[in-house]
Amino acid sequence: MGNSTVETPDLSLMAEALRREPPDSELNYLNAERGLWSWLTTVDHKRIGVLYIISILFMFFLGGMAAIVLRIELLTPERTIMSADTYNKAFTLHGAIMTFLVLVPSIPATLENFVLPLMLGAKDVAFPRMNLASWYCYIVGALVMMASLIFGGIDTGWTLYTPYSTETSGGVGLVLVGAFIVGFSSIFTGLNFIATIHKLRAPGLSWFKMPLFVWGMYATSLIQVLATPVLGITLLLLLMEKVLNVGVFDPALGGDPVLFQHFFWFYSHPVVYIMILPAMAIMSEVIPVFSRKTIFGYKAIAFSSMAIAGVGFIVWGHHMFVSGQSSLAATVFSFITFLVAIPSGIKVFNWLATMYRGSISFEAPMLYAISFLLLFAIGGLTGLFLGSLAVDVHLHDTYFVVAHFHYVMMGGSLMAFIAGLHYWWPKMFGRMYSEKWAAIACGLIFVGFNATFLTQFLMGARGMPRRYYNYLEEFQPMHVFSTVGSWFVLAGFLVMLTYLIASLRKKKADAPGNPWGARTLDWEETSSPPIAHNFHHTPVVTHGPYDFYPQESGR
Amino acid sequence: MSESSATLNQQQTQHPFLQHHFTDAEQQFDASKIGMWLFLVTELLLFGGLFVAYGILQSMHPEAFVEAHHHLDRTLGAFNTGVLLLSSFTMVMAVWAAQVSKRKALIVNLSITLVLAGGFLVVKYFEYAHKFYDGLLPGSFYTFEGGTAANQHIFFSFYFMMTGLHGIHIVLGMIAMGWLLRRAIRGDFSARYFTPVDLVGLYWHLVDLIWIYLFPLLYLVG
Amino acid sequence: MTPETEAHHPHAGPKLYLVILGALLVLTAVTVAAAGVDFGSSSANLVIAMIIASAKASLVALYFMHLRWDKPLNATIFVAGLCFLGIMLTFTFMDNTTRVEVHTRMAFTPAIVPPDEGTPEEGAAEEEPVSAVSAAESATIH
Repeated sequence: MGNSTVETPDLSLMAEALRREPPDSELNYLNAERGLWSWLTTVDHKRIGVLYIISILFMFFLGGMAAIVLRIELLTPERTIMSADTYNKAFTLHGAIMTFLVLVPSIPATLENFVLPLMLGAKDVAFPRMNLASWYCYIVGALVMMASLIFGGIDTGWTLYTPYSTETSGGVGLVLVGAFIVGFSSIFTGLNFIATIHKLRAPGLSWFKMPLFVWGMYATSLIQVLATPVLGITLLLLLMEKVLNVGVFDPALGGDPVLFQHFFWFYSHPVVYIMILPAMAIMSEVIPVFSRKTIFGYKAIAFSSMAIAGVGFIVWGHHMFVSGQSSLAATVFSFITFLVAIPSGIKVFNWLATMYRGSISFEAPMLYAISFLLLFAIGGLTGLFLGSLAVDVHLHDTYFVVAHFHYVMMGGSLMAFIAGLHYWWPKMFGRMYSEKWAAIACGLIFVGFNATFLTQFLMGARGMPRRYYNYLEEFQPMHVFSTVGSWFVLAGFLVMLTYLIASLRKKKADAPGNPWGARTLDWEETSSPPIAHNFHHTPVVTHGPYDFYPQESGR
Repeated sequence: MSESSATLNQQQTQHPFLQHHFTDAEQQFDASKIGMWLFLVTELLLFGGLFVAYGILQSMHPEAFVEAHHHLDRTLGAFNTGVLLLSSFTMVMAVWAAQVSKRKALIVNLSITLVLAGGFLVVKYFEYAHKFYDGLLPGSFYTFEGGTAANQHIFFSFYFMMTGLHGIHIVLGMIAMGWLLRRAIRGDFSARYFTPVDLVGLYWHLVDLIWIYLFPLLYLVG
Repeated sequence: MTPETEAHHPHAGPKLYLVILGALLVLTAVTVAAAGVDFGSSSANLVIAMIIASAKASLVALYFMHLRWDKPLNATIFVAGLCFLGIMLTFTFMDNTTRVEVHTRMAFTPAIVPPDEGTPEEGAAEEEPVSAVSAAESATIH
């Protein structure tokens, strides 16, 4: 597997053909069946992935507009365009949509759904009907959550802390029920993929010959199955507290409000690893391909994925340093938080080592991958500030936290999702997009993102609290700068939407089977787009996933 | 009958219900089992959360929990434990019957399991009715006058939440068993294919497992 | 082992299952009896009850749920679930049982007094936000 022996490339005729020529007009999964009903009742993992892409991009724009709007409010220290109540609802809506309805399902339900069976040489995931059920849970859950807007929405923050969430009326109940339903979507997805990875690998595809994307998604799926039920019981307990006053979180009834936080963060910390592990998984695919060099440290990256998943379960108390936890608990959680940074660091160094002396090309996926490396590094390092007990006392609930998690979630997870979307776009739809406009969009997003959030590190360190509607005059210039940055981000996404839709509207499918020259089954053994059953014959794996052809320059 | 359709029928009878993306029945069976065990783990963590909350609140109010739990009828609880254990036995007998293609035994055992499950719920109904009568209800509905320790209502909050969630799972299990019964009568299951019976059996055993812990926690030690 | 071969030679039959059922019923009787005996502290009773319950659970898992004869992956999945539940339990308890009541060091009445009869109204009425320290306490907790 993957070393520098110079040998005649072992190309099957089919792989060679796929690299050079666009497909003939054979039936593929997109046109094999027609009509809305065929889409709504599909059990084809590829179609379900596309259904999810549409749903999630829609929710992303909804949540994004909430952010745009609340940042406009923050242009002035007093009221700008909305009341304080509306502002609270805006940031709650933004947070709830972005975490539950966008980032958690994003890569697993869209790209992994599409790509995993192709990468494994399988005809579908283990449980195709469960896959469709997962999408319906997502849709129904999202609708129920959005229905809360009819009742005035919720203003508790996406974290739903007690006692406010139990005492306030309005749409909290609907959000709890909706999130509970969406949780099933996540569980079904994870469950499906674990079974698929264990049982549906093609002949010759041993665990250490799998693309690293699969390792990352396997680790993600483990977290989905283990952590999401705890969110489920947390939401149920909150519902019981509201309806029956059970007294679990209410001190007046003998309960403990901090217990809610333990329950909530036991899920919500691993959930951020559900968001970042798939992003890292995509990096492990994109970076070798666009450096034309085998991945550095395959096993280290594979085991780091598992380590992040495992250790990520025992750090949740770092969200509660100032909530009234015991000092012992706080110290233990802080210490372990430092440990969990190690495997992430290993991965970043390995990706850099992969790029070193590689033959790097700057197509859209690689532009976003490089953005990821820079932005995730910043986000990850600032996490260490927040994990330090004494420093966190000052930084907790300030804009420093907001900037940190936007750097890792948006600069990290979302950038990687976009990289993956651009990487697999030709495979999914058989069409290439405009590289020029993709680069422009990337530039707008990168500049805008840093303008928006780098500023917020400074604000937070100087004491600007998060979720505040009014603020001190001295923070206004930075708030204005941050808001203007958000407009650049919006512009970038609008450009992206435009050229992606334009690519779909091309009449002729112009994408070759393997435009990037990758060496994994999803690229080498399928057409672009793939046929409904993925493969004509079950593929047999004979080489490693990153065995690129040696360059003429001789190495 | 042409040769190709004969082959097809042969494949059908050899591997009924084999889905197209699996290469053989064994792979499908193994994958289904893995899927079911993963689902059971999610149930474990769902109920587990309630156990953790119970543990924390009990450590905060030990006297209240000890005093409150005396209102529970140990005999009825032990009886229900026996009922559920027996139903686990009949369920695993149903799986065995399917494995050795004994259709009648499968139907009989599934039916007995269903009846026992129903019996469990009937006993719970009587227990709940008694609590309602006494005012031993969760949270703000607690109206029982008496007892010395404060916050006894928390115990009953947990009693109703935990046995309630458990009861919901019993009902869902009964629905699954009803579906199995229908398919068993139709003759779907045999030594060649008994996966659904196996999987529902696993679910039912988990429901039993949870009760094995609930019973002593609620009824015996408080 | 294919489902077909498993079926022709199932690992266990009615006899074994009957024996396990008997053991389960006996253990149930034992745990009820043990609950009547005072073993010293209340936590001792709890520990003993949980040990007996775990023995019963192991019998159900190993024999009724076939883990004894299944592929090891299934047992690994189940045990992993138990481990993570254990993590949740342990770390949460670690916090809740090691908290030090800050205000007891200050020697004045706490801000919230537990209600006498367990009804919410009384508890709320007895709330007395008194001093600067308790106000500062509530300021840091948000």
